[in-house]
Amino acid sequence: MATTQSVNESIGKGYAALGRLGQKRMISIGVLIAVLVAFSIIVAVQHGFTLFLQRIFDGLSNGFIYAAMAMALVLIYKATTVVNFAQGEMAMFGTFIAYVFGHSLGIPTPLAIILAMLASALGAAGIERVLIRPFDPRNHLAVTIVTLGLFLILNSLAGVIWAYDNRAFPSPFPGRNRSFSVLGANLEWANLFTWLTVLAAVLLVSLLLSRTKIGLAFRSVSNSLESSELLGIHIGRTLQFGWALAAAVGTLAGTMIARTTLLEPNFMGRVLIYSFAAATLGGLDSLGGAVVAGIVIGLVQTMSGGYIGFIGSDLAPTVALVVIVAVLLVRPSGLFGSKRVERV
Amino acid sequence: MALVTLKEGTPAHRAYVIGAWAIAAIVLIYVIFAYRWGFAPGSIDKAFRLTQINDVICYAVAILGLNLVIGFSGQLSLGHSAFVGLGAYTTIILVADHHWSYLATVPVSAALCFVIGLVVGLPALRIRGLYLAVVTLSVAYVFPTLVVKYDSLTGGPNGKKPARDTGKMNPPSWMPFSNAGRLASPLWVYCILLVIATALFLLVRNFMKSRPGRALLAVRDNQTSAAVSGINLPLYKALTFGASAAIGGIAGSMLMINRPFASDVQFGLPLAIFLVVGLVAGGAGTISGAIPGALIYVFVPYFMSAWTTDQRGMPPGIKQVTKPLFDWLQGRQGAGSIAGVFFGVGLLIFVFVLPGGFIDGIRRLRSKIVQVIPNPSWLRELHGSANPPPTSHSPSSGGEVTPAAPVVAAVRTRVAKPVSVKKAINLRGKTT
Repeated sequence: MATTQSVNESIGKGYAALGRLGQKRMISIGVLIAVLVAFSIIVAVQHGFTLFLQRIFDGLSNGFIYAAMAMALVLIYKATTVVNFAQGEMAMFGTFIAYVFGHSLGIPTPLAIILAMLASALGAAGIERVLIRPFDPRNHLAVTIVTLGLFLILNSLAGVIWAYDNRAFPSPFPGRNRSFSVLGANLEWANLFTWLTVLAAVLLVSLLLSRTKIGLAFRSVSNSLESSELLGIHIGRTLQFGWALAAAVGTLAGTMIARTTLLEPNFMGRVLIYSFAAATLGGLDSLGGAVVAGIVIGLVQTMSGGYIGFIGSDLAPTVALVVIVAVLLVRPSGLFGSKRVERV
Repeated sequence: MALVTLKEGTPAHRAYVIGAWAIAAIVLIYVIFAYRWGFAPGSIDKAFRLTQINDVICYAVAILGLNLVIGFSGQLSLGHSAFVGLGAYTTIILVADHHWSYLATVPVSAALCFVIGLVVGLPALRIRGLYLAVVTLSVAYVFPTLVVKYDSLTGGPNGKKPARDTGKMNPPSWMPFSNAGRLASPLWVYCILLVIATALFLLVRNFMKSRPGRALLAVRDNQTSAAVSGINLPLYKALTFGASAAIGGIAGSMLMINRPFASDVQFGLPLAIFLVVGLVAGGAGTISGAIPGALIYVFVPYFMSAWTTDQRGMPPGIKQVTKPLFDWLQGRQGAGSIAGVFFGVGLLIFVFVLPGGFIDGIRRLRSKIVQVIPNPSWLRELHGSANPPPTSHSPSSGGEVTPAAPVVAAVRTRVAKPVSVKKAINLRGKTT
């Protein structure tokens, strides 16, 4: 009798602890939001609301792109529990393929982008089969080194094939260089379309993961490899699906970025750092976290660079670094990441 | 089976060990006198080739430092280029602006990098695995942007170099090459760098055999078990990060001694990745692996890009096979970056075929020729002489002792001499 009671008590304590854990997460997210809001109010009052809104728009434009890249990183992390350091270069290669389709073969840009997404999905599926699957997924160092090798190969190969010239990537959206005014701030139509495209991609990926059989298998594998194996899920093919999906999303993000910057083999470097920051901040295994953190990083970058004089555009990467280190010190697995329990 | 079997502690084994070290020493000293005969291969400018050899020494030290974090304590750090850069800029700023001598700056950059490494390593106490890899990667990315931002101090994208001949390294007159003209300075730099590097390699080697070194290996192999065994994880992790950064900083100073010019592009993300490539290619978790790693890092890109413009220097056997490739590359604008492709492919080949790196391959090859049977000193002491412990042939043990003799001996030792237990544990730590 007494034993049952004590067991019940300890179970109750366990639930209370879980609740506190959730609370802690809410507190750290709340603190982050409070800091952002306080900062926004101060600068909006000091420098005028229109400028503030303009910076919000700029920040969102960056943030949605980081969100898309971070989503690709998270997909691969969920599939292989490894950070794909070649993600940016895969996206760069996909963007070059879209460029070749559009520029040399004369295919209309939106169609060229979709074709390039398919091509890079195929390529990533091949990479997974040949380079990643032979390794034990628990051997993180080996798989990470493989992705670093891929980084080098793709980057230099693009340099050999397409050289290091800057190329203009055509915008896939109608209304080139035209903008409209929202409360005095300018918003380019193309930027609005970029946000919508990324949102559509997020929606599509989450539908794919929640409504299809392969999506269910993917979530099962990312939850527990061993149990999924016992359930008869083909692990290799499911992970291949994850890589293909990530590459397609990455290529989409790459083409969105190449529209604003110029296309050359190193153009993803800067974006990749912010996307890494976003994926880490959100927790490497949370898709929603990646999207939210991507937007947060975009806003932090634009706001801190725009309003704090000495930071400017040079120190913005440093600010992103400081933010992720600060968050990770409080929450070692990111804002939305799942906590790991270790067993001896 | 191996061709030759040697028992540890026998004169033959001693001769083998001394001989191996002597050959290594002769190779290193040969470089000093080789300027008279030129350097194989190719008819390259001697001073330039010497500078490249000096580069190898510097990068070997950098990889050695990285190995402390990745290979020995199992934390994936991708930000080592920042520490090398910090050391380099410390040296170049002190020499150019404050007229220090180069050697005096080495301890300063080591201390500075140790402190910064501790600070960067602080997240490592809580963050682990790939989160840490991402954080350190962004450190590597951020460093060049800081250099550009504070260009009044660092010279920014234009780079920084001391005024002509400030603190130039000239050999003292008693050195045999002091009258070698243009070659005297790089030769003297070679000697200095070699001394620093040898000291650091010995330091790390002995450290890994010490108690903290073994604790590090325990942290790498199973962090939780290590913590349960009473190893202070935060302390060891932070100190390892600091020490590794300090060695990286010394490597940066050494680079500046060799080529007194620092710019932001030298110490960016590519260096961070190439250091990891060198580490894996040489052999993660081995001390000597840093040397082949650095050789690959310095010479492969050099020859690759040289061959895209001029195929005459290529070894004749390879020439016929690779001719179509280099013909295709010739005249292409981005042809120089073919080295990156080769690096990447080579890295993949290493991970697939030789996960232990170059050194592991050498060791496997060596084990086919020479096999050393362990016979540690404490076991020899136990039997009072350099004679091997009793085997089944000796009358004293009565024939029941099998090849598991060391274990039996260890148990016996514990009964006879409690002090030796620690040594027995040390032995086991070494073999597993």
